[in-house]
Amino acid sequence: MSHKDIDINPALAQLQAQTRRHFLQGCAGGLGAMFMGSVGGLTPLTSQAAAHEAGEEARLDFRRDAARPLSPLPPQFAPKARRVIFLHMAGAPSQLELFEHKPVLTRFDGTDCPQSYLAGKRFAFISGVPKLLGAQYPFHQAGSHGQWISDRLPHLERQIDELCFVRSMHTDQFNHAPAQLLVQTGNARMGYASFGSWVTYGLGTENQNLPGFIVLLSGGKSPDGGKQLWGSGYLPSVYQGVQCRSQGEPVLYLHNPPGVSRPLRRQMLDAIGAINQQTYAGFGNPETLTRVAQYEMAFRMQLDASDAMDIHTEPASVQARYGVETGKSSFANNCLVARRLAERGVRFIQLYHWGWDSHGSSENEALNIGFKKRCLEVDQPMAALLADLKERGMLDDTLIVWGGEFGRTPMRENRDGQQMKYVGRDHNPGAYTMWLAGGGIRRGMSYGETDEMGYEIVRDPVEIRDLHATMLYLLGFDHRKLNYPYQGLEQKLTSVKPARVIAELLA
Amino acid sequence: MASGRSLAWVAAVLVGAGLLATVHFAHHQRTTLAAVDFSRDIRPIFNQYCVSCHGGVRQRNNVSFIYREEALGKGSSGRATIVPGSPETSELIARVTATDPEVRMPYHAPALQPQQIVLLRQWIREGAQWSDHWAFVPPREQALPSVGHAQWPRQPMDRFILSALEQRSLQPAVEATRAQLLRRASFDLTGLPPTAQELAEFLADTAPDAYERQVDRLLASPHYGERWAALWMDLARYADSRGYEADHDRVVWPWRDWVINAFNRNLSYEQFVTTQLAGDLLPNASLDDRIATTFQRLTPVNDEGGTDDEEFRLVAVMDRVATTWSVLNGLTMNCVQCHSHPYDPIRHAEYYKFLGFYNTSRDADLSDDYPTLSVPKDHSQRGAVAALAARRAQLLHDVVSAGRALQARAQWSALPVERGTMQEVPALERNLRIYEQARQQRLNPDPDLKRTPRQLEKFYSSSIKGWRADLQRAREQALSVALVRDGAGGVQVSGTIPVLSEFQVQTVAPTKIVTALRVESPVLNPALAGHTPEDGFIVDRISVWIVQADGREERVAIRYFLPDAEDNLLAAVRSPYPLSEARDAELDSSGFAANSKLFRSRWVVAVPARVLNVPAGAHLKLLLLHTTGIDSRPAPLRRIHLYASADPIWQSPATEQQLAARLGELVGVQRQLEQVPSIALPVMAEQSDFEQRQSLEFERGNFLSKVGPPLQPDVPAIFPKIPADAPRNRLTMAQWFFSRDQPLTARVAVNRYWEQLFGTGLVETLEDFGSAGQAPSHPQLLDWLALHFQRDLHWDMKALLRELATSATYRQSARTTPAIAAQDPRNRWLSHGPQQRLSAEMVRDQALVASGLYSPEIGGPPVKPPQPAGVWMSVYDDRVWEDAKGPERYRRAIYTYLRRTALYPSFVTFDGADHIVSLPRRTVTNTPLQALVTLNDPVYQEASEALARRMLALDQSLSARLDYAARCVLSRELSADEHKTLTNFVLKARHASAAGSANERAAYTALASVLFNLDAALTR
Repeated sequence: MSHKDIDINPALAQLQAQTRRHFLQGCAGGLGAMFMGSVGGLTPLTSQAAAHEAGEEARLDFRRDAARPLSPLPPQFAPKARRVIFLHMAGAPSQLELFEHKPVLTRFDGTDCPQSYLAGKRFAFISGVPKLLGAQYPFHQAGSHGQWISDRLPHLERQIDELCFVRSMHTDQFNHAPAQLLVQTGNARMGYASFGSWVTYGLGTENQNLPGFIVLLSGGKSPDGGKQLWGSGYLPSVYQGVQCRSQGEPVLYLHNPPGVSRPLRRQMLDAIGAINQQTYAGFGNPETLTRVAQYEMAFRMQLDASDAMDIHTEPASVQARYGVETGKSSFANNCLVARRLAERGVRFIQLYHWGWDSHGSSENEALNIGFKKRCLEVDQPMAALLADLKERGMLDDTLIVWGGEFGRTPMRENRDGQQMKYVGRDHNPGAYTMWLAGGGIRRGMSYGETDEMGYEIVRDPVEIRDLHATMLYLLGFDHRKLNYPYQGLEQKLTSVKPARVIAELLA
Repeated sequence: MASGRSLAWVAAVLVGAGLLATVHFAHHQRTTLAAVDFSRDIRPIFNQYCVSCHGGVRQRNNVSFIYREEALGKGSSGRATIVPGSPETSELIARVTATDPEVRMPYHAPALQPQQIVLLRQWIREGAQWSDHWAFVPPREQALPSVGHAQWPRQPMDRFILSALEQRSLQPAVEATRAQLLRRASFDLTGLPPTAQELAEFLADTAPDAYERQVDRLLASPHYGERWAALWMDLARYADSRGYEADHDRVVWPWRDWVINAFNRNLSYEQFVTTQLAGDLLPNASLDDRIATTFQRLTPVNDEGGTDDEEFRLVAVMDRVATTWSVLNGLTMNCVQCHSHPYDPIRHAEYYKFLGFYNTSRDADLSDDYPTLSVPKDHSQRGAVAALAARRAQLLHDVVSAGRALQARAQWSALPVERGTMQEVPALERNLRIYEQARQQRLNPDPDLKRTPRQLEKFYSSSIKGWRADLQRAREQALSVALVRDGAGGVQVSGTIPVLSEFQVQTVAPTKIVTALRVESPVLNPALAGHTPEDGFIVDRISVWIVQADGREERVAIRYFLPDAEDNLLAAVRSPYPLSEARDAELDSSGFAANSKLFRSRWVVAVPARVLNVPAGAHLKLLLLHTTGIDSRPAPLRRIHLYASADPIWQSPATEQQLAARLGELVGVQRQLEQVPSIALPVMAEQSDFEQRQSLEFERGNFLSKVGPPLQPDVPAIFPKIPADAPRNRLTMAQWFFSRDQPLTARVAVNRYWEQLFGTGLVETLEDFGSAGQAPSHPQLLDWLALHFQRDLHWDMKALLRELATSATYRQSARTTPAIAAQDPRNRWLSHGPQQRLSAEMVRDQALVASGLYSPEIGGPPVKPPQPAGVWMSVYDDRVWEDAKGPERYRRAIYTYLRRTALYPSFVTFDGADHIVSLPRRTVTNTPLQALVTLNDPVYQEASEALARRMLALDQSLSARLDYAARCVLSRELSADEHKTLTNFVLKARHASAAGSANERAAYTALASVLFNLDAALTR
């Protein structure tokens, strides 16, 4: 049955057949047992209830040596992408000002919104009868596939043939925090494991001297959903995202305190290690040896993380290409850091930019003012990131994802039923655009379609869980097999509703 | 016997493959097992291979294996799935033995093992008896097992452990050293390490009961309550902020202090839980009883603009249901939100029946956390305030009841609306005027927020600028509000509605005198609104006018407004905010509201000061003022109906007597309460009978789509019944969990205590006692302990802990050898003593105590110890974390401010809870980031420096200083090897730089840091 449930084309099936991963028959052990490798015993599952899919009993084995909880594991089948860089535009950028060319909407600009668009809809702020709002910027076709793009992203336009647009993203959340949580954790409530946590749990990471899941925030500002967006939920906390900063310490508590030199630190660790060895000899608790290993890893991380974050060692030409601003935690700086982290084997790199919530309620939230600045902040660096990875031969196995948490309405926002001074749009969970690139994604295409107003999806809707399933597929997992036993269920990123791998997006 | 054999033979032949082995196996089964045991042998097969398609979530082809009656039914094929006594005619057997891959089950998956098929056959032949999963069967009395090594047990429970060890030819370990024992017990019972002084006293005490007296001392310590409160805060998802995007501050620490105090007073577990679930419903509930109910108000609230309050109210209600079941019974009730339980016999509708217990609380995801309890900041005023609050509650109830009775009794006639307008400009003009006046008077608009004159001026100038702009816009561009007659004498509002508006309605002239007017907001769809509400409204003020035939208007004086419910009466008597007080001068009357949702028609009765005689040709006019939105959206009255009464009862002296004095007293009591500086603590409060929301089943968990009839609150049928005569409310629900035959409450409680002391629960999956969880390692011990706790100890938590902590099992050394590790690798048989990593809280608290920085104060508002800059930055918020100075910097971990979207980083690194959903069990990890915390976090550097000062203050040798620091940090003496290693370290560190006292200090600081980072320091 499992093969019938999932929409997988023959090429995919063949990929899946190239299984490299070792399957274990019916092994699991509930929470905590995954680290039992070094203790020597596997916990037999007293109840096999958690074998969720009747199709196969084989489960993936995610247990690891306790001393190396982030050690790399092979995926289920040959992956297309080995790492992910996720560019989340918090606040939800308007697809109608960037990628969705809707001439009919422009023709009806300023006219009353038809009642059929309003009946039965829930809005965050629109009330009464708003006016339709045409695109605020001119559109044109670009690239060898003639994809539409507005004039706001001239740098990205030069990479347009690399991009795969999903124009039919759909979400069921219309408030920022829950919608961001849905994008990042597969669930709109707080307390679930984030995508990056799932990926580092499933694959570990290649560089043990750096965290496997790193988060970078523009301007140090947390997105609406807060640190829960990179939380590990029910997964062990070792898989949560580590926020790295381009100002101050790159990782919290990375630097030695004043007065502690690196040689002194080495002496301290030698003393700690020697005594811990004696403790182990006395008590025989394997966790003690694990601790010795972790302290040594911390010592190495102090150097490696500082080095990875130091973008000023990059040639001036590279810095200029990204538009690096010295001493700031800008999106440009973070894009360059992201490339350096990718080079060093970090598995999941999550960038958050903010300020895209263009309601029109203030200058900064105006489509005609703040939105323009946001475009300037991200356009050059994200184009540079794509080009740089390509030149280094890394785009092929690096999956880049760009997007917000929902779309924006074709209606002009009329907060409190009033025309506002600035031009803005309200939240639209019904349709929005994301783009993907690299890592096994088909180049230069669009998937899905919205109506002539860009309001609702008319073809090939993609739910967040479909996106997640597709991303996991590229990383080498059947999303139903990347799971974790908790509270009697095999917890999954894609949760319980059926999700599909969007085969059309795959190269 | 002979016939039994031949039957087994037949069964084996039918299986086909693996014939010989199967015959042998079947024979073995028949001769050694009296009967197949459903729970042990059959349910695991169903759970593993069948229920994902034929279970609680899906019943493919109408086949399910959760309930016996379903499994005995017919599938879509028309054939009976299971025919008791007849495996040959049971479709189940036909399917699992079929050879056609399209027919054979499990579908498109490997076939069942031959032994499993034999078991299924035998079970069906024996009558297909069903039995409940062990956890749903009440604990059984257990005899204490006999043991060989009879001197070893110190407590009855030890005999269960020893018996299990002996069955496996294992020996218990020797007793731990005294120093180890004291460290273990001190952390386990109080969360703090023993001080050097406490350690010395214990080592010097040679009495045989010296250890037991230490346990008693620790249980009596005021810090005991703090340690166990930390655990309860995980379960209660405690935080000092509200969650989601805005994540505003929430003042709930009085609840945390109640918990600490309750543990220290040793409230019984039954009282402890019952009070938290339903303290407000206890007879003569005290202020403390109500504070306890904050437990279920710790759910996150979504203050993001443009959210649907009903959606997030229900998220909170569902969280309360899940938390109740998880904390008390270790069951995953959240699974049943969208469908029947995938593994356990709990049906979808039963979830919503249980939800009914929680669906009638007053809270509604409002930004002021309504309803709240005034908790005086000055502890000595609590008694007086509680008395006033009780009086207020009584008066509110009396007045509303009287008003409702009069309303129901009086004769009413409809007053059809003739004309109506909803205008924005006059409302904005009025607002502007009020602000301009307030600016001249330098009125502080929010007394809770101290503003300098300059800040005040800034506030007014920007507000007034904003109002002027709004006014100009409104004058230039009128909104298209539409008022439509609703065919029933009223009007309905639609179109583009402003937030601020004056809503005027003019009625036909009443034909008789008017003694009272009723303003009503009917629901549009009475069939749905009771469970799926309509948009709410807030009318700030209502005034009534008589409009003469010539157009002159005369204001009607109102004696009192009688609202339909207590929330509106309370809102009416509350002192308005200063800025709205200014409004009162113009419109001195009360409004009414359905905030945030309209579940039923709402009304308010206005009783004029004297009987109205409206002359011919005149009209009645009502002016309703709207100035407040709900969640950033306009919240006007959407529909209005008016009624007049000519009943003399409204103006009678009896009515006057009944109401006037009470209303007067109510206002007085309210003013008195407002005088006491208080915390507004969110608490549970129940809706009155007449306003209770209905609970229906949500279709696949979707709150917008409900099915079936309204449900009466109830517990799932697998459990003992609720007493027939008990009211179906939260208190009954809470008490039910402690009823004699409740199968899980005591088991889950003793298992949690066991896990805290031994590191692993008897049931390892603390979060799941259902059939998908792990079976208990010592089922008899679990039952014995549960019944002992419930019936002998009467839920006495300290008594239970005392027995555990003084048991021989607990007192074992944690030392393992390769031989023991091979036989009992995870110490599930307790062949040696527990060794656990310190919790996040303990890591901090140890550093504070050992360094001497520790501030032992208990309770009070949360504090902000040092945290790196930038952790608290968020988009919509400029709150900053200012590192505490003085003693507040050194408080125990549980007092650290817990902000949900930006938790205290070092606690997160050491596996602290996320404080968003109830956490039944923390996973312990061991990571390099933890090393970075205890090596580099300024908190630990400060502790290291302080411990160095302590060492240097001892006018003694390096060796003596070392011994002292080891006693502080490790609670023991150093071994000779350790002593040597550390001595060498200090000599080298000192040598590394030139001589001098600064270097001496640096070397000792490094030594202290080394000690804090030892494995022995990070474990207990």
